[in-house]
Amino acid sequence: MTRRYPIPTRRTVPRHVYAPPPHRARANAAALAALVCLALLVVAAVAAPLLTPYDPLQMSPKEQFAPPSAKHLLGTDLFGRDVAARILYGGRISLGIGLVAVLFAALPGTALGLIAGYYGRWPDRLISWLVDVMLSFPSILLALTIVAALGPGIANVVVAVGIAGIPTYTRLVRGQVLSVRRQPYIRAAVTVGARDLRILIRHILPNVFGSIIVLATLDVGWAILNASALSFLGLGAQPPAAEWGAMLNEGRGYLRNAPWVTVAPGLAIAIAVLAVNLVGDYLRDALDPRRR
Amino acid sequence: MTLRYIGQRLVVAITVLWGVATLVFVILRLLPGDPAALMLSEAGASAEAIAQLRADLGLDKPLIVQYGQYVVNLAHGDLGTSLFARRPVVTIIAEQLPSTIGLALAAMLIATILGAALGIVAAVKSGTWIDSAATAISVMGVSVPIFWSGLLLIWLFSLRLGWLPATGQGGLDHLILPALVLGLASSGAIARLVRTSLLEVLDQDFIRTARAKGLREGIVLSRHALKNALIPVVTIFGLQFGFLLGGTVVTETVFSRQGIGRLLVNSILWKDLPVVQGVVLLAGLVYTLVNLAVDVTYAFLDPRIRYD
Amino acid sequence: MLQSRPVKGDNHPAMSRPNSNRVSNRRKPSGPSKTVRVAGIVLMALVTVCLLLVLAYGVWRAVTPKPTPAPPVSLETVTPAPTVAPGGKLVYGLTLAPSNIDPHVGASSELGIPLTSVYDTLIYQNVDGSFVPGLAERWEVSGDGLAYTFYLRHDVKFHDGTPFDAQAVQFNLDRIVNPETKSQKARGLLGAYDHTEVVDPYTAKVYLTQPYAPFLDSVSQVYVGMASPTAVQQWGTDYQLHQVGTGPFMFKEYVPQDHLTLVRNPDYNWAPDVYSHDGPAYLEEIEFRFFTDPAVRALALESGDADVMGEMPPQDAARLEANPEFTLYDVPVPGQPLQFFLNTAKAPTDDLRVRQALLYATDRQAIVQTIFMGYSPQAYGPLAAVTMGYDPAVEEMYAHDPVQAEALLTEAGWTDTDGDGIRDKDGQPLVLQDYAQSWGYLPEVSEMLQAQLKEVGIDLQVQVVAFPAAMEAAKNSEHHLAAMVFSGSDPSILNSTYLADNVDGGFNWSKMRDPELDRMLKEAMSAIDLTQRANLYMQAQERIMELALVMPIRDYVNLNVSSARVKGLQYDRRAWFPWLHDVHLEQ
Repeated sequence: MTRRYPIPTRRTVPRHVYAPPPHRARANAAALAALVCLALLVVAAVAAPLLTPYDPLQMSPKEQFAPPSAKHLLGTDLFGRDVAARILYGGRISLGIGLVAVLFAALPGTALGLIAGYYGRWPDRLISWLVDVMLSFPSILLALTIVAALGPGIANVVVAVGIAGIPTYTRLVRGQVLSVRRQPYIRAAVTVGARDLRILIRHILPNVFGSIIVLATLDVGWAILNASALSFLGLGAQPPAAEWGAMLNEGRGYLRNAPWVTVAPGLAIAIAVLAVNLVGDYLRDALDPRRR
Repeated sequence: MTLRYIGQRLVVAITVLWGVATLVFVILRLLPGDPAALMLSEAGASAEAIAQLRADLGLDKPLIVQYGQYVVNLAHGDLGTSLFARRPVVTIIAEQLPSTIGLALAAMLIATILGAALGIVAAVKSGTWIDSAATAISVMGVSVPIFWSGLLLIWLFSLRLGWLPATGQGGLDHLILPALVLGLASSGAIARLVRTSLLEVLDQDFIRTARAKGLREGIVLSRHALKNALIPVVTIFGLQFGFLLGGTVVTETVFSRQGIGRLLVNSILWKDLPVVQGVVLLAGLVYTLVNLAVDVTYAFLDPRIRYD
Repeated sequence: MLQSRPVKGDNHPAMSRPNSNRVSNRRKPSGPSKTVRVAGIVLMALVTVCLLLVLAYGVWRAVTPKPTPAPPVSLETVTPAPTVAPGGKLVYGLTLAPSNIDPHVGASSELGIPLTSVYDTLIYQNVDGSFVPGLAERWEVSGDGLAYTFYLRHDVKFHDGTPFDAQAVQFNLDRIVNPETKSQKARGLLGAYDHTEVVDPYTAKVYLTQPYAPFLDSVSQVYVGMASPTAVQQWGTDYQLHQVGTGPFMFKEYVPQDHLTLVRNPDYNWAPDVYSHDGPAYLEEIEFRFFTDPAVRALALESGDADVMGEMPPQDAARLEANPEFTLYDVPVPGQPLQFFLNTAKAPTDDLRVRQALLYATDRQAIVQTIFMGYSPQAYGPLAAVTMGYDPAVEEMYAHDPVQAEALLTEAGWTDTDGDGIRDKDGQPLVLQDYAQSWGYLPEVSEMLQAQLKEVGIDLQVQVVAFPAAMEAAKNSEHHLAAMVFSGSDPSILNSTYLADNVDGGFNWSKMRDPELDRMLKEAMSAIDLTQRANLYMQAQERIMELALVMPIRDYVNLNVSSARVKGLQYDRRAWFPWLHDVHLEQ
């Protein structure tokens, strides 16, 4: 067995990621606020039973379309269900869909990008071509088409939104890998005889990781928007699920009588996506290689 | 040399288009359900009638043969017949297209003007509260779901104030709200890019030179800075066009406008396969062509990038 | 949606230029010079001006009165009889856009709304069910019920100038039954039709293969309207875009999914007794527009985009009813009520006790109040209360009784062994699949049902699908509950959903083959004696409910709202179709 010599590596994750650069102090405040907001949203969704005495599915027809009051903070809908409760419990679905869809996109996307960038030649050509084809559609159209094939439902929406997101990761990772690949320490590793997989995971991936995180964060917002759009169109969550997009769709017919049924869930989506975007923007600026 | 570049891009675009057509075919063949049965479903047909229709439509042939037929039809511009309306898909799409194009153009106009304005202001006033405000508006633009902002605007301008009609076709009246909603959402991304790009350019040495030469700031801004800064913005045009295409789906549903977006949604709900196929294909085609045009324009604008 | 993700452009050389040009790293551009500041101010000023323009436009719109339709042309001469000023244009709001609007071909009720004014029928039916002459001045029925002789009017012409005669009648009826026409509804309406004999130019004798009681009712429906043979032969498959009848309005143009325009027929020189005046109609032009989205219907009416709107959502109807500027027409619709068929071929609904439990567990009153704002009466049986032949006995059969429901379920072996709130048997939870279509408030009704059934331990899973998908699922017996409605003025409407022949590929979604029921329905079809017919249908309704084949929810009530300026609007026996001949607009 040949002796394996330790491969010289450089510190791949810049230190300053952990301490925000001082001149970005202003952006820091906004991002921090966004992060706190996001954390609150997640906690609220998870701890929903503790925050509201109402069951989101409990119908109480006598209290139909009650405006916001002390008893029902955000009013009630057509069936007398408490809107605030539905938003809290619905957060589990809406936020959950966003997270899982991003995982669905990031993992295969990154893998494909690593392969394409590292191996080059025909795998790269093939994968790049596939990516081009998939990116020939606006992402929501691609997701729509996939949902058209699979049928409505939360799981199918997650799959559709996930698949539609894959090409972006692939393209990003591929680009990063291409630039990292030429670094001397990678050449050194290859020369020494390290296995491809080891190189990919131990050396290349950490360099790319920052960009992936940034993309993934921003992607969560995009996934939430697209998934709720699909539910709004009737192709996602089915009744009586309290998903935010579906709630907006339900409330559409009663916009005049009971605008709170539509305002609240939309606001929830907007706030969640806004917070995610602000955090993502901050991460992107902080991890920007040009500022190292 | 430019011709060679264009030629290259064209060849790639064609292969991509073929890939797009195939992808659409593959995805939609996954659809469960028998198109022939769906077509005759209203009449409550017998098993023999359904079998006959399947044979007529060529659905009983192996997948490869169906695919071949599909490609041949595409080459002739035949997108099939709608299951629901019993009319050629091409006709149906042609009827719905003008409305969507009008909406997309109006939205793009709003997005560009607003986005450019916001971006320029943010860049020029970089570091001040104006910059923060403009950036905040941009981020909000891309965060707020279109279907929500659309409904809010309907509630405000149609139901409460009665200034504008909520739905339907018509003239400028009916176009304002949908275009505004779509344009606002799109302007955010444009504003971000303009700001970044302009900031970078303003930092360049040649700008310093221009200032040192004594040129007025206005000239510096318009003749030197903007022209260079707007190059990457051309790229975003292509992307935003895609966003607008996707956005029309939701916007047309919210405002009950005619258009291929709503056509697509209805066709999906009604499992009208050929129409779904046709619309998605068209969208892919247009998007690819737009991106091709963007790439070529890029090549003209920036002499440095004629390689690939 | 798509926002600032790193995309194509980011890796572009232009975006990542090497920064070696920079003299100073990371220096932000110094504070803007005076000129730049001015440029910024100018920009802000531009934006402000734009906003001000928008505001001004809005104020101008709010201040300017809404454009009103052209005022009716007033007659110059003074006549003693009460005159109505003719003229004016009416915009009528339709809902679903049908796939085919040829009445001999299509089945949708939506097509009948405009076409009732384009076509005349041989006879007309009053709202109370009695028949009056139409294109036929009088008619005779042979003793055995196998031949109907129609004596036609001599003075009627089609809109294209060709005369209406017995040949035309033969052409039309034969066209309907011709398999090539692929008629979806009219063929069924004609039932046991055999052929027509042209006795003389204005006498047509129709022969049936067996006595068919609903024949007169069928012949009075717009689906059996008389079309011009010349036009049909000329246009072929495109005929639906160029329809020619004899009615008070002429077909002008149809843009699918968008609008349909009719213009007055100036040569209309008679009118059936169901109309209140003879001669040409009052309105100059009628435009039918599609408003598929229920949320916008009230809006369109209130903003003046439409003068009449069909299928108004209940809460909007309630609001508009209270408003003196609008008139509400709530017309009860005969035929089948909004109902769910219970699949007898699939467990667990194959067990009679489970089906009965479903019926006892449903609180129809709550559904009607919550979703339909009390505009619809509860439904109790397979026919709506206003339908001819309705049997009031069904009202006693399944009251809202959750206790009884639970007892039945327990008796059937379904108990909650694992304490999760849902009953189970042999390890299988009591889960039912509901295929709800997207119209008729079925999703909302299903949601309420879900909650109500949960209380007795049933897990109802709802899938909201479009009609083709529901059809597909029902055909493959994938459902436990599936909703379908047929409306019609004759109780023979029960046949399509309860005859054994219609189980495979038809609309018998309860999948029940009951010889008793079949016998009753078939005999009633050919019974000429009215009392016998009525008896048979009563028995049929009770049998259907005994077997618990269907879960009725509410009787359909067509909620139409019109602007108060619209006068003379009435709806026919089928309740969907407006009689527009007498409609005129007040100033």
